[in-house]
Amino acid sequence: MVVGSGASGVHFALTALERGHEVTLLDFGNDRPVPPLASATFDQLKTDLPDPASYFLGEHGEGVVYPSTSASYYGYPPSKQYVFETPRGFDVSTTAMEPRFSFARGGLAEAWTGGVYAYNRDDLGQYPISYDEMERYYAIVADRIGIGAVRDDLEQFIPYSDRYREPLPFDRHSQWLWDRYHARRDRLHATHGFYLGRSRVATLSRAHGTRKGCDQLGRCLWGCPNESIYSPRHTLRDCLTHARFTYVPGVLVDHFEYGDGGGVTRVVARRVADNARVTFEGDEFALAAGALTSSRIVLESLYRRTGVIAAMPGLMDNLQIHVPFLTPAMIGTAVNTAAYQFHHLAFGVTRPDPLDYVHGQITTLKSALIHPIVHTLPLDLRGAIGTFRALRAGLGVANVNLADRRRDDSLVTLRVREGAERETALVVRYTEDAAEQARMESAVGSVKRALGAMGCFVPPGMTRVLPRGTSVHYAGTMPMSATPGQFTCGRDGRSHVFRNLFIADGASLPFLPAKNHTFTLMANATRIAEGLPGA
Amino acid sequence: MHREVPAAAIPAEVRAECRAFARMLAEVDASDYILRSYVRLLPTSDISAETRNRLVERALLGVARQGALAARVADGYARFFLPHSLFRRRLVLMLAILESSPTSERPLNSSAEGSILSVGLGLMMTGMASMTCSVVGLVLFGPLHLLSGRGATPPTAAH
Repeated sequence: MVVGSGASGVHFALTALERGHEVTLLDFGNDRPVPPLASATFDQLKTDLPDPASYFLGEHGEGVVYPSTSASYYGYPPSKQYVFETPRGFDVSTTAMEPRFSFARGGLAEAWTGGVYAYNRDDLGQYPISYDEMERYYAIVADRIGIGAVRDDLEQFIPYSDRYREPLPFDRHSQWLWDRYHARRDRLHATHGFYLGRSRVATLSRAHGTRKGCDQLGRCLWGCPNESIYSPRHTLRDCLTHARFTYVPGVLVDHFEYGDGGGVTRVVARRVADNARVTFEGDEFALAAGALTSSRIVLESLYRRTGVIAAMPGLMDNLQIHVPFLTPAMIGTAVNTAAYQFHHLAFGVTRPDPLDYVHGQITTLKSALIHPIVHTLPLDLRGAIGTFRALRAGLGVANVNLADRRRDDSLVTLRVREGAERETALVVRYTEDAAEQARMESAVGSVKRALGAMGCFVPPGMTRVLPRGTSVHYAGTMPMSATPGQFTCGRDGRSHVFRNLFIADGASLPFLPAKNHTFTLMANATRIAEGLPGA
Repeated sequence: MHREVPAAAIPAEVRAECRAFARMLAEVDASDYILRSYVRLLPTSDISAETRNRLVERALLGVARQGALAARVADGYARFFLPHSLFRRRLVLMLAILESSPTSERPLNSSAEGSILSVGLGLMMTGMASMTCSVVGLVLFGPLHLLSGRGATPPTAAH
């Protein structure tokens, strides 16, 4: 019995099926709308759709990014709203964090940019499993999802695999940055500890199974009509080809019931269609609803049985910082908006402690809605449009990610909702580490200086530290541990308290490196499923 | 699907505003599609009644409706002194619509091509025009802003 159809859940389910198990996957399952005009480019959507403003800006203006102190340089398009829609009654209160939840078929990876970075020996040194053990599972997942990468300077931080495929062709700006990096490589390494390489992405440059290679339509953010960008929905589709697989969408799992011996007996859920209480029985249970939602299910289960509200410490999240930059050498050149929209380049910045390694991705500006960027420029809007058009070909953003460690004061718990006896809401409380600000400033400073050394200009005042939680990389609340605790699990993902419950998602990660964790989630879920007791 | 707003029901001042904004931002005439999209999405740009009724807010919109140049002067002031004003939110909404509409997306979604010298020259002229608009805007709207209480319009949800 698997809860959740995100990156962890589907790879757990597929592996269990391949091992001969009978699998039922419970899912809320918001489904994505069918992308319109499948062969149209980004620009053609604007001319060929009957109502392009509704497509790009939404029926209710959800895609308009108005001036605000917290405005991002882009907004999630209306076509991706289903990813973040939460069910009625799903109540969350937060402190110092803005977590996002997904109840979509495919989970949060329905809105990702495809970054897949294997953890290395340093990273996994914090885990009760080694890189040598994980390598095989990274390879299995790489074969399933299709990863584009090349051998480059990042290999020393992000292990390379011969299972990877050829990457997508560069856009002109990314190619320039790549060439300039190689011309100044030694200085960038020695002075700034800055290493550049190709992004490792789960985006296909050629067909893989039923998925097509990237057609360079420039619609990545709005939803790839070719399925070139991997989504867990694709693996769910593979699961559905197995006779022993049952997919149950339209249910919201609330808690599980367990016996005196700590064995989970059944999962209790609410059916969306009629709000009816439904139960599901099984012999082994896997939580893969995402670190926060899985934590809520465990806390709720304890509360239902004992009346005690517990707290799970150790919540982690990758802090993200956007550093916009300009490459003057690109000014005056044409921008091709019919191009892969996401990042082609990734970078790493070394730190004295290898666990503080800084990871980032560089996205050059191709197709985009321009109004969220233009209104932030320090000019009247007409002047800002002229300036933006002049600089557009040279604009890019470095997305800097920082590692995080488990701390007792960042936690997940519940509270009883006012006026609703025994109904609870999730409480997410993040507390910044005292040294985080210094780490962040140091990392961003290094990235800015490295960009400068490559011939780019970083405009002052435009760097943005995104609200904590924006990364959607959550982890650490039920970590794998050699020492059993109330909310820990073993190296096999099996809960130390509930003997037939497996923690298959980010909640089980004991350390969160700066590198995007989705690849590790998929590989770890595969590893855990492979270790299930015999079919 | 959204409900169509009958053409006759669109107030003249909204039509004038739409015309001026489209001309100012993209040098295009506001097509029927642009006008209807603007009217449909206008409520999403709204701010509190108290702020909306401030003298300076009403003056910015009133002047901007007179034409493209007037709108640019108003924005030259609003960008620096009232960046979260209703006027600026409406202007950003219009830009979002223009860049998504078939008749106006091209000039907004392309880059300026040419030698670095010609692009640089264009940039310089853009900067000078912007500066001029801001100075004129300061003279026109500064006193009104003082009269209506010098506070900034608080930012509203960014979507």
